[in-house]
Amino acid sequence: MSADRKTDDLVTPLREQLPRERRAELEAVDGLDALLHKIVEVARTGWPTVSLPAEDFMRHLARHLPPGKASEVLRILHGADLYLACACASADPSALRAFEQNILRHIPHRLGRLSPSLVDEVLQVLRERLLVGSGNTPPRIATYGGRGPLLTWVGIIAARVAGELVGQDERHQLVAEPPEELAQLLAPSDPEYALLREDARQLLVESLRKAVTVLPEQERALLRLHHFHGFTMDRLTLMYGGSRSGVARRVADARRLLLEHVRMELAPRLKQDQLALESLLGLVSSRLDISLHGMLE
Amino acid sequence: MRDRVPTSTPSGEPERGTESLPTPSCPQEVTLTDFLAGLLSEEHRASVLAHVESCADCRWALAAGNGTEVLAGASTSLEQTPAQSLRPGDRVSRYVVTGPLGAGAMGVVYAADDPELGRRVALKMLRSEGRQQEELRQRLLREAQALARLAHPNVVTLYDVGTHGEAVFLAMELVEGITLAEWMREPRPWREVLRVFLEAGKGLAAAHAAGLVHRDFKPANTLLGRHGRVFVTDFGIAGQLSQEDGAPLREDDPAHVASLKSLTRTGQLLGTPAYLAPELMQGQRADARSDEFSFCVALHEALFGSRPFQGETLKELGQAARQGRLSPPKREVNVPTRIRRAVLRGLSARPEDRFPTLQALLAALAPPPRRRMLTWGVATATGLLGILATYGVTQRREARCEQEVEKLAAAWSPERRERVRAAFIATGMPYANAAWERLSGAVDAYAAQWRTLRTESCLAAGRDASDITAWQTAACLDTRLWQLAATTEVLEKADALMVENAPQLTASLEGLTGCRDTPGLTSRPQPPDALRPRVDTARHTLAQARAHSLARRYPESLAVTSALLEDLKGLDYKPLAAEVLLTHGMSHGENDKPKEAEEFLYQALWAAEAGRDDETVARAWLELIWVGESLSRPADAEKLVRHAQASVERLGPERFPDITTKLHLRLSSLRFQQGNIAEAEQEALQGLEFSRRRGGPDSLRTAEFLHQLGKIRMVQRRGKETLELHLQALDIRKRLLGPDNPGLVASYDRVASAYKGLGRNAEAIDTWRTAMALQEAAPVTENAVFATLLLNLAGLSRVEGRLAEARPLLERARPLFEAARGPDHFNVVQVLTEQAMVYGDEGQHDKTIALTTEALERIRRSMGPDTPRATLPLKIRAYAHMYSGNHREARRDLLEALKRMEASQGPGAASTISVLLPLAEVALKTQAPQEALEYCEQAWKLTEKVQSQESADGANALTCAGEAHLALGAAAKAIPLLERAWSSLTQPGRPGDPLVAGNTAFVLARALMEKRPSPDRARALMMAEEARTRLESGGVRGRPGLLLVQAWQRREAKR
Repeated sequence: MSADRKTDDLVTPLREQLPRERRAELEAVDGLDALLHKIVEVARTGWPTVSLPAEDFMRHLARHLPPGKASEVLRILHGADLYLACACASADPSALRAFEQNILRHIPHRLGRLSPSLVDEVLQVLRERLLVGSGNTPPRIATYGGRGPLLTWVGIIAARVAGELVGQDERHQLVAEPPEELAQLLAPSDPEYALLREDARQLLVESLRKAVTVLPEQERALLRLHHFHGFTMDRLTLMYGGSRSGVARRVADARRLLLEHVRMELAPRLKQDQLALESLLGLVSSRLDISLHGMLE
Repeated sequence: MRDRVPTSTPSGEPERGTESLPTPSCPQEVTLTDFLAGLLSEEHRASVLAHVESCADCRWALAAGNGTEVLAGASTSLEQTPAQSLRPGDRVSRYVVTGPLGAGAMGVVYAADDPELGRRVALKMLRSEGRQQEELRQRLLREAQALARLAHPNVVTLYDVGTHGEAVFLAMELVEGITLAEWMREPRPWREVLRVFLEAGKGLAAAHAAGLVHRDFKPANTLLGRHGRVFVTDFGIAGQLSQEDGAPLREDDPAHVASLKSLTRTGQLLGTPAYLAPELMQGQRADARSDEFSFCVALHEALFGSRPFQGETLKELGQAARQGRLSPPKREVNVPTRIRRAVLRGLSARPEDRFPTLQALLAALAPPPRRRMLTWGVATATGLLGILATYGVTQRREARCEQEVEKLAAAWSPERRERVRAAFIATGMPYANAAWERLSGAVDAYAAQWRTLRTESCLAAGRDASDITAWQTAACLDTRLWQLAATTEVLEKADALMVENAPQLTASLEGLTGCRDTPGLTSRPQPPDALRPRVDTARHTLAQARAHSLARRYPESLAVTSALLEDLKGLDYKPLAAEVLLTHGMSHGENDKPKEAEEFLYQALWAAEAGRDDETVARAWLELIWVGESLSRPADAEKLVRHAQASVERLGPERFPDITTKLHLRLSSLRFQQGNIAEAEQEALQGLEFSRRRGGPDSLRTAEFLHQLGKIRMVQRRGKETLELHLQALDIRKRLLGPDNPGLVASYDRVASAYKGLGRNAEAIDTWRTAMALQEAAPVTENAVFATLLLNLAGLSRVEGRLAEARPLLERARPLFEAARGPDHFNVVQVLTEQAMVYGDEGQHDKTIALTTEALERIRRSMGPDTPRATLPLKIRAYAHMYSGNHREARRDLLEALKRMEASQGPGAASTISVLLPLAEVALKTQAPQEALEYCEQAWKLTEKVQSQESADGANALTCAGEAHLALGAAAKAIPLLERAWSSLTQPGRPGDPLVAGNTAFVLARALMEKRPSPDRARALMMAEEARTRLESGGVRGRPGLLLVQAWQRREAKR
């Protein structure tokens, strides 16, 4: 492998695969040759048992360079993942094994509360859909473009597959983000909470639940993504755009709104006991702080 | 309780609000991937975001895609690490390898010894990668738990699963013999083949009945013992492993087809595909009928000398099987058509064309029983109709039994299982996950066992309507099922406390085999049919109360039982009333209300006697012993013990292991509290043996007995054994309860005390801190437990001279104990004595005397005038008298203590050393050195007897004798004894009480100075200096001794 690296011309197969009018795009990429060699090297170090000719990989890569964005995509490319996908598309046995070991194996964790038999079924459908071509159509894994991690792409498809496999009612269950659960997540679990009387505890959870339901959709979605699905601030920044501090502020605002609702719920029930109200609110607030803090790490 | 508002809607109907369903407008996967990576254009991003905000489906998909795993370099895990080979003498967990037995597809098998249980085992080492290991281990463990309950003569018993380095090991019954594959190498008569396969089939069928699928049945996995018994082995493991290794096999998968040859050669992935059912090659899940196919392939091979289907590749093999292309037999055998036909049906390509169960296949294979021949005779007479009728009845019975077994869903349906899991996880406790794993494993196994036994009894009852025991067994099993249902219902609302106590909850689920194994004895009385529905309902509610009680939610439990007692007033059914009263009384007892407990327990006893319910009678007596113990009412104790013993005997000690172990434990604890150590030890040892035999080495009961024995060893002054026993118990409980479980506090406390007993104070303090932290993190603080920790920490602080630390700890502990246990309880006396010792250390001996006198008065009130529990306060008061110069009072107290100790533990008990030594001291002080020497020598003999010469006791006895000799003017005799004591006390790594070493050093210094003809002056001064530094480090406690040493030093320095 190292012997042919110098003589190996990677630019040519890549260029030849591109339509004539787009070839100029490649000229604009600084140090293209070195960049391609780097991508191949990383991919081969990542998957030493997978044997995929470099030219094949380059041709595959060329198909995934969107017009006008060649340079941008090459810079952010998940080269090793794309390499694996390309090798899987050409039915390389060790690539298929690597896919099984390193991608599919992580899928069950990501599907959360599915039953084991359903997980098996999802995996089986995934194998069929992604790895098996039909007629002239190459396996679907060939359409993976390397812009995000392969595992992310497969994970999303897996979720969709799971959604198809279960009945509609079950799907509600599957994707449901019941206010109770969010409320429970937000409800404090520290010793002080344990010391609360049972009725106070229920009051708190009940108020949280109501507050979550009346929260505007956007704020609710944000809190769910963050607290329920565990998206980090960094990830949310990528999804919401703008600056990290901007997103952090949005989360903080949503949270303040939620607390406001909780207060509205609690206040009439704790009319006489301002102290109890404040201490309950303090508990929720500190819990939110803790979980925010955890996410910001 | 029942009207408690649930914190989540149990109906499972999620509130959807305004959420939309996934629509065709949901973004493509690529778009979502790019969205997550922040690669979309601003406009596109905004529109996707707007969609995601209103689409729960997409949020869920995004969550599944979201992750930070970096893939590059992950492929290192593709390389299989070769399993380390083990050599004879190597240890795997507690097993000692004796040699290799063979190598299989998944690993190497070794013969090994289990020194703990004194048996030989087969150790199978399975390779697994580090990352998968824990998951694999968990799954194997779950499977193993199910298997472990499947005691069948044709299934290899699995004892243990664990990890060893990177490998997972299975410890199994060691079968000496050969594999079926080896046996099949030469042609066997078909009758012999059939016998062997019918046995193997029974093993498989038993597993199926328990809900287990083998997944890899083949001749190489079946063993023939020396005496011809057949054992099926490796259940489920192959399936687990191949799932880990990669995708289920797919013949159309080019990767697998291409590498088939090498795979079959190394056998690593596939084993031998020839035995696989065709549907498994297509990636379907294994079930009982795929096992049936494998079984028939092997049987075909054994009968006809060739496998039924041939193929070079998986694809060809699968095609042959699907098209039913059988290869011709290698040898012509005169096998009956009946058998041929049965084998062929089992080899059907479509699972639904095979026999519905393995049991049915076996019935078709089995030689026609004599009875059937008779039926045939009758049939020919009565005509075809008769046969059809018989057939129909059998069919119906099987169908009915299937329905019966389906009742299990009421207790442990997949839905309920999932809800319980969710409830556990929702508690957010750090050990929730581990607790769930253990709980689900145990309940799964219980459910599987229930299914097996219930099917068995239903079929038996159907076969012979006069078979009363089968009906009884069925009824007994149904009762247990309702108990399970109530328990699981309570588990659905699990909170932190429940999660903590989940292991105890499942431990209470037992007695299934008891339902089967006691056919001769009438089991629990059953209500008349008219009352049955009401009784069933009440028992169901009662099971909830029990579950609350086990989870230590006593007020909830009491609320349920109080309501039940009210409800049952009109219902005249004594056994039920007895059960409810028993639970009610027990909850009162656990809730520290012994008086109320006693009252209800007696009521339970009378109701049970009237209703002829022996089981409840026995349980009530056992509880009464315990309540009597906490009420400290010694006069009643003996009567209660006799009653309890008699009732357990009447019940049959082996029938109810739970009751029998409890009897041993209660008695050992009672005897211990009475100071009758020999009998306490006897009970603990018997209980331990029984518990290990019936419950396996790793049960909570076993741990309880280990702790109990540890307590006994402590009193016997066998410190190292004490520590060893408590550590073992802690280890078991950690494994069963989870490492963060607050229930471990008691175990940590005992381990810490054992460390302290060995002088390993730093370790003791560490351990107590661990316990304190656990108790503080617990959802509910338990006052008596907490007070015990306070008391013990205080004791150690005092020994280390930090009296200011000890005092507030004791002041906190005392009211806690008084409230929880009553003012005259031994625990309170312990605190008082400890407080007295703090004063003693400060030199305020009058206060010590006052406090110990009060302690003695209290213990006399609760335990009677002769109680050995008075020993400690007596000793402490004696010291205080001695230091105050009241030698006569000191001697009186010590002799009184000695008398009580000898009465309870027999003469010559090791613990009397602690009285003999101060007696010698008093004798010396009253100028009776000869008497002192006798006491010292008596003490020394005792240390020899229990081999504690090298302990602090031994050194003290030597010092004592040395001092006596010195007082008699025989310095030459004293010096060697003192030197030995000194070297024993100053052994490296033995941080003992500095005062003890200081005292010995000073006596040695004096002896050296008095050596005649030539005193060893230099060394004497040196020893005095040693004494000084040590006494100084003892703080205020060392002060009196220090003054003496310093005076001596000044005097000697002037010479």
